[in-house]
Amino acid sequence: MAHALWGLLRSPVPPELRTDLAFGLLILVLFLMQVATGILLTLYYQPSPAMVAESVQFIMRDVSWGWLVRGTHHWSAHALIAVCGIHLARSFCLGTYRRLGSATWYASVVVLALLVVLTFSGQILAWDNEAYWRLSRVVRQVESIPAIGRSLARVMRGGDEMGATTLSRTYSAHTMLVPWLVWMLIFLDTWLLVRCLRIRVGGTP
Amino acid sequence: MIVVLRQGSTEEEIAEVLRDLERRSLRGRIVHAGGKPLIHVTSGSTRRARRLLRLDQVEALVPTSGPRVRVEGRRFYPYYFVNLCAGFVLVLGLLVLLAGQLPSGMGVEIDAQHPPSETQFPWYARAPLAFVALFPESLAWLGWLVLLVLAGVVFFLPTLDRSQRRTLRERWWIVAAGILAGIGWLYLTLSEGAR
Repeated sequence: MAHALWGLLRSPVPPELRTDLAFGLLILVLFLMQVATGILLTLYYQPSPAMVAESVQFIMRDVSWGWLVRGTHHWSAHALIAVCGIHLARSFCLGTYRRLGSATWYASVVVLALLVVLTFSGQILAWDNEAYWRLSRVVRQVESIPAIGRSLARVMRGGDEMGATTLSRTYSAHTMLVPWLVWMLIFLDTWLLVRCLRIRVGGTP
Repeated sequence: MIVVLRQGSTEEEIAEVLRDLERRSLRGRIVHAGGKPLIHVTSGSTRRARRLLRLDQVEALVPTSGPRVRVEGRRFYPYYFVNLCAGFVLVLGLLVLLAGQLPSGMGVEIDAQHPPSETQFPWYARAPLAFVALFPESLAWLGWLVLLVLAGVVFFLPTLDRSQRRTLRERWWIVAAGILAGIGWLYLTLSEGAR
C-alpha cells in the first residue's frame, strides 16, 4: 500500500480520474477511522445483555473522550454509507465502471452492501429497546422467506428466542467477520484504482 | 530488461516465455534483430523478471536502465494529494463536530413483552423496508426477492451495459433510470420515516 501511494505521489493525476480517486481514498480513510474507533470501543464494551447498558454508560460517562470515540464511530459509519452510495451513483450515471474496469464496480457494490450490514449490526449492539425490536422485525421478515427462512432466522437469533446468543453472534459478525471482508474489498478496490492510474500515466502497473 | 533466448528457439518456445511473462504480470515484445531471439520486457518489476532464468530456453537477462530512468526521473506531484489531505482533515473535523453536537444516545431498557407503537429504522434501511412493506406480510419474501433481482441488475451492470456511448447525453436512458430510482428511494425513505 505504501509503495502504491508513493507511486501515486510521483504521478500526475489525470483530471478524469481525480474524483474517483478522491472518493476511493475518502472511503479508505473513513473505514480506517471506523477500525481505530471500533478497536477503542471493544476495550470497554461487554457483549452480554446484562452488561451492555452499563458498559455503554461507562464509555459515555467515565472513559476519557469515550463519548467522542463512540460518537465518531457512529457518525463515520453513516458517512461511509453515504460516501459509498454517492460514489456508486456517480459511477452509475457517468459509466465510469467501464473506464476503471468492472472489478472495481463489483467490489464497490459488495462493499456498500456489507457496510449496510456492518452499520446495522453496530446499532443492534446498543441492545436497547429500539435495537431489540428493529432486529426482531428484520428476523420476522427473514423468517417469511420460503424454504430457508426459518433456518436463516434461527442462525441469526442463535436459537428460538432472541437473547444473549443473538447479541454474541451480532457482536462477532460486527467485529470479526464483516470488517475483514470489507477491508479486503476496499483494499482491492483502491489497488485496482491505483493500478489503473499508474497504467494511464505510463508507469509500471 | 532484455530476455535473451537460446539460438534456434522455436516459435512454441518463444510463445511459452511470453506466456510466462504474462503469468508474472510482465509485458514484453519480441525483438527481431537476427541471431538469437530477444524479448524486451517493457513493464514489470526486475525481481519478477529474474525468475525467467529458470526456463530452459532462456539464456540470459540483460538489465536495461530504461524503465528505472522513466520512473525515477518522473516529477513529484504532491499538489493534488495535499489538497485531498486538507479535504480529509475537514471531513474528519466535521465528524468530530457531529459527534460532539449530536452524540449517539443510550436507549431505554428492553421490554420484550410490549413492542413499541412504531420502530424507527436508520435512514439507509428505510427504503428497502418500505418497499417490502408494500407487499402483504405473507408475501414479504417476494418483496425481498424483487429487491434482490434489482440489486443483481445493478451488480452486473458492467456486463449488461455493452454500449459504446460515453457522454451523458448519449446515455440519457441510464441517467433517467438512475434519477427515477433515486426519487423512488427518497420517497420510500420519507414515507417509512413518517410512518
